[in-house]
Amino acid sequence: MGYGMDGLWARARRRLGRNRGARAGLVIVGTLAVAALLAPVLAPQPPGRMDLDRVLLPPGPGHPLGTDYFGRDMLSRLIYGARVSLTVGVVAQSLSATVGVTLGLVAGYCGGWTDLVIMRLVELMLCFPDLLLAVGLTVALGPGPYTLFLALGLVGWPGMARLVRGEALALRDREFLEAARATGTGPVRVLWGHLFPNCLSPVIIAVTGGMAACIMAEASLSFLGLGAQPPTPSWGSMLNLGRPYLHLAPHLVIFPGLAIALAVFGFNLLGDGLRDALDPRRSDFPG
Amino acid sequence: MPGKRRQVAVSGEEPRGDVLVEVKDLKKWFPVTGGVFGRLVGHVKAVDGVSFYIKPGETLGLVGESGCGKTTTGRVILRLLEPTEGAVYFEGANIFDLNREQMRRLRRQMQIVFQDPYSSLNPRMTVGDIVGEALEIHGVARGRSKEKRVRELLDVVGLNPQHIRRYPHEFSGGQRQRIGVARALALNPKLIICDEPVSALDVSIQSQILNLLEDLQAEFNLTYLFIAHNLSVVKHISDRVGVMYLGQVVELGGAEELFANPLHPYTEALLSAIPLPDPELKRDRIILEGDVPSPLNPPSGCHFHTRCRWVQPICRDENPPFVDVGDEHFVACHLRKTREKQ
Amino acid sequence: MSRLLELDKLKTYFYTEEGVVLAVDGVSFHIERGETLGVVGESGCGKSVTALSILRLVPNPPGRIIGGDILFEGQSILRKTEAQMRDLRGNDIAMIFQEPMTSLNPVYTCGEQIAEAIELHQGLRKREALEKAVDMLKLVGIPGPERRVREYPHQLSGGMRQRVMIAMALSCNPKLLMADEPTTALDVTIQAQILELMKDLKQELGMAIMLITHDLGVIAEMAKRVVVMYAGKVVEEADVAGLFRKPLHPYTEGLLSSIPRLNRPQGRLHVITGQVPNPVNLPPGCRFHPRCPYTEDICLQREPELVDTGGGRLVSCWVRAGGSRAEVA
Repeated sequence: MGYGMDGLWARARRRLGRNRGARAGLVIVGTLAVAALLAPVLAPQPPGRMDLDRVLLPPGPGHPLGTDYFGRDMLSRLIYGARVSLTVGVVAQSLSATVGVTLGLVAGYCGGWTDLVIMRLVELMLCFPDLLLAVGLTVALGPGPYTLFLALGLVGWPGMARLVRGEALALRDREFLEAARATGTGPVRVLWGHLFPNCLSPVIIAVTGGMAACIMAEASLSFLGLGAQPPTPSWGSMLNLGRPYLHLAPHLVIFPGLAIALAVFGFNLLGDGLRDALDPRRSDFPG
Repeated sequence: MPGKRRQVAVSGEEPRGDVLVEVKDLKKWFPVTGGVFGRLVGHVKAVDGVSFYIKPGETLGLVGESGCGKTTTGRVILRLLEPTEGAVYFEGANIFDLNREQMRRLRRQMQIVFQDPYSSLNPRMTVGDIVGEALEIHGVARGRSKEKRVRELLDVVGLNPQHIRRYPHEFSGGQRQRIGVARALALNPKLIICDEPVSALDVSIQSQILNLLEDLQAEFNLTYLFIAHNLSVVKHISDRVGVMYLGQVVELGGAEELFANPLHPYTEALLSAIPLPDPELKRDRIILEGDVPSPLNPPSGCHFHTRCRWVQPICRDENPPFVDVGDEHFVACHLRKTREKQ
Repeated sequence: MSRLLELDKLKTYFYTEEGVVLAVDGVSFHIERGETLGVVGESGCGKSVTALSILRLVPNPPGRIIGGDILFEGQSILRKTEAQMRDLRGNDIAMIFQEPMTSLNPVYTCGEQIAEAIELHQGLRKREALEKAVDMLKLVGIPGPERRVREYPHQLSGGMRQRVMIAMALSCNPKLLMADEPTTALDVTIQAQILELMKDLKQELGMAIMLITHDLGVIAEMAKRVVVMYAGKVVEEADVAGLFRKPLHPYTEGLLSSIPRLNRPQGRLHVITGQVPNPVNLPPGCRFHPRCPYTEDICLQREPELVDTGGGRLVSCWVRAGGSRAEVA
């Protein structure tokens, strides 16, 4: 429908630019994204290349972050691991955002029985611990990247639906929606053309924060052996496989752990910065 | 139910021929639920038997305090809310009998201007999209021709047509209200419902918008239903004025006549309560005691009897009929005749 | 005896992302003991910020009082310590706001809220304070005060809440009551009740009232003297009858002729053209000049000062009062 967002973005950019934490977050996330995209170029070695003569080397020349028990270069594996973590984050968040936003908008705008049914479903989903649900699903469908996307996406949507429903509920009686209906605008267009753009800020914030949660969840699942399957390197599985060598070669655990911490930290910083930048309630002059 | 059914002076089953809109015994009750199981505990009788008509080209003012049902009346006439009972005839056809497609077509004929110029414009849409959306939806114009028409409309309401790509937050309150007026004008409607269009504006901006509305009415032969709580504004812009109290119209008449010669005790009190910008004018005040009763459980009989200084036993038992006392001056008061003699 | 309140070239600015907002920019006026001063102006003219400055409650950041002085009974408010200010607020100077729902705390009963102020400032015990609260509710005309004192704000109607606010404000016998749009959120018939109440209480208690409003009708009804503000400045000061009979400043004149009148016939409304200026980007010279029908060259270049034209009438306008042209020459 081509409704511009210039006002929103211009202000967000200005505020983001002034927020130090957000800038740092943006740099971290940006670096990780570039690393993931350009992994084949950046990685010094293919992540799967084994060199059984040089196993469990500590960080040093030739292997800046050392090697693992198959003699694979840790740096290369970490860079490729960013691909898995970010892809899982992006795909799972897109999935949960799509489902959550749609159901949330419908529930909040339509109200009544529709709302009741959707929200009971949301509450049902929220009854299960996230990780347990993801584990259950992975066990049922067998581990693999698609299962991972599905599991994490499924875990995320109820929260999103709840958030969007709240926004929609608050906006439902605003006069511009009434104006649209008075003009004869149909419900689909009112929902997506008028209501949705006004719910966008919290959705963007939630998605950014959700990325951090997804990376954590992916790491946890992979650590449990239910995520990315060998030989695909993922930060969580690297942690898992490095665990037996904790005393012998602590770098096998330290570096993946640091990578996870850094990514989560970056997304959280960015999320907080966006919250400040996009929140229209944050005004500078009282009156 | 206490009281008899309200007699309606504008009665007769057939709609009147010479009017644009006729509202007949309109009721809008909102259910109130309570308790854990959402049991129905009562109804808010926001609009409780309202009848009036609007002639083509005139401005009918509707005044009343908050909660009197004037805004709800406007929304039901536009069918943004479905009525509980009653009918609204637009050019002779009951709009509640129309199906979806017929209603959609009718929406071109009636539009609304809202009170709050901030919440009534979508902050994420440009002025061009806000004003032009109706044209697109009704297939009147799109693309270039849409833009051309929007520019014309902006010019008509006194905005710079070059600002078509700006967002609402780049405009002041008065300018935003002009955008709202342009949106309402887009489809060349016959009726515009103005719901407190100047209440949120500064005094110096109010007069700009009032004059604009008058100019547009003359230019495009518009009919207005002008809803407001400010009696001075309503008197200024209206040809006829209806006064609402607790979901009912208690008095309706020509603007000059009503303000010079109020017949209902509520109208009288309302008029005397307004502080006039004239410090040297001395006058007697009628100060109403207490608050407006809740529309959830309005008083029996005449809804105003709890605050009326002339109250008689009959007022508590019977809802007074809404009768024409001559010259299209309607009033709903049992004591009108006795008081006239005094 | 010194004047009750005197503002001397008060400047309160807000430092925001968009720039510096000159919310109050050199405002001077005074209030005598026991008088009602009306402060009129449209949104953003600085009338509310002036009141907050007097109580030193300007939100900081972004706001700050950067110049001028406020004298209360001859003493500078700006030089008082925070502890002295707390003692002054509510005790000597009380304030009521536009929105009685948001200015009452929903989790305490009306009685508790009134009693708190009394305990704090008059050193009464809780029980005595609650008894006084009942008296106060009776004073402001709330029926059944013994019962109402135990009710929560949401159980009251808008008019009743504003009465509670007034009871709270008056509980310590303030010398000055500042009322910021006290009836704007109320219906006309309730407004009439509250205005009547304020008049009666002033008679009875003898405090001064600073009545801030945009409603010229309320001003005409209540005030003795009027200060008209525009874009952070006082443009005119006059006694109420004089102001309405013959406004001097073109802004006041425009304002008075642009409101619809109930009691006199009127053709097309007069219009003040243009918009209220953006507070971070004010026009040079006289701030009203882009909207003024009488603009001369000097209005574009120099800011006029508030000049005494005699008889207690002050106006800040080059055309109408020469705005200290003598100094320029």
